[in-house]
Amino acid sequence: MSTVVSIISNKYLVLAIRLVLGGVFIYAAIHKIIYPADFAQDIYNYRMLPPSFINFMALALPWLEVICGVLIIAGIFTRGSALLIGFMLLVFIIAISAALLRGLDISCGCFSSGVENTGHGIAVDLLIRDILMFAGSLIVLFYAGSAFSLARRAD
Amino acid sequence: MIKRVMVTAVKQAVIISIVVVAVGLGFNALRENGIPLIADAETFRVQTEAEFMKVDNAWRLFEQGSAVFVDARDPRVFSVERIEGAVSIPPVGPELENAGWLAGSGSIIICYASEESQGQAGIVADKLIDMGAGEVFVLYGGLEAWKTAGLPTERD
Repeated sequence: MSTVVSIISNKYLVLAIRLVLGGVFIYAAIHKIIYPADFAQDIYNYRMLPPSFINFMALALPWLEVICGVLIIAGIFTRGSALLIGFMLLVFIIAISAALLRGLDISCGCFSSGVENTGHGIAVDLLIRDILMFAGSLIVLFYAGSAFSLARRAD
Repeated sequence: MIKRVMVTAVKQAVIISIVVVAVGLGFNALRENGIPLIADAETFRVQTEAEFMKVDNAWRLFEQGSAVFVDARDPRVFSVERIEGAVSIPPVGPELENAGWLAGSGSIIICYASEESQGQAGIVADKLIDMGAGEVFVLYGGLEAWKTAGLPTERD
């Protein structure tokens, strides 16, 4: 057990996970910030939220992604960013799972939206990807230190 | 240790969330093509490039005589009841193919269908936009909203 802990708490591994999570979330947010209406349509297609909440989510979620992405890369408010990224991934996992179980043939809305989507429909591989990233966010949450961080001290 | 980590993480998450909401809403307010904060199901069900117009604004244009109302329903239903003065242009058929006269007229065009089939209005609106029409709208709530407001309709 201590071997596992020493591996996953390795500062280089934690840094790599921070860079990957941050990069993915920043990249995912850009198109959604530019085209919020299309992203709102993607959220609606999951049929999980009341329509009156959808636009607020479409406006807030991409900025949450980009700001958490920047913070986790910079090592500022690292644990908070990791917690929020983990929460978002959990929501995505639940949403994709529900959509798969219901047999919805919809766009993921992960990296693009509306008519710009690259045909990336929901599928099991997306689920696996998000689960792996969720695991990574937990590692950063519990083992983020002061190494490679712009924060003056560890969170 | 877990409790300390979680307390720190939650505090930071709250601060981040407040900043995110402020930035997100502020950016949307400042941009030219911002979206409304609250929308309803119809704006997601009916996917169209056209904007939605509420009944009160449509009525104002009706009174001024400055809009053409386009009924996107089946012509048989159109003959039973329609907005007064509306023209029938369903999404499939020669009327839409030959609607260049309308697209190039410079008129404000308001498309509508029945509430549950507003998607047809969206299709007609998009086609008119492709044909070059400048101001095209979809009537929010369709014919039912117009009738609920007590506004004039006609029959054959």
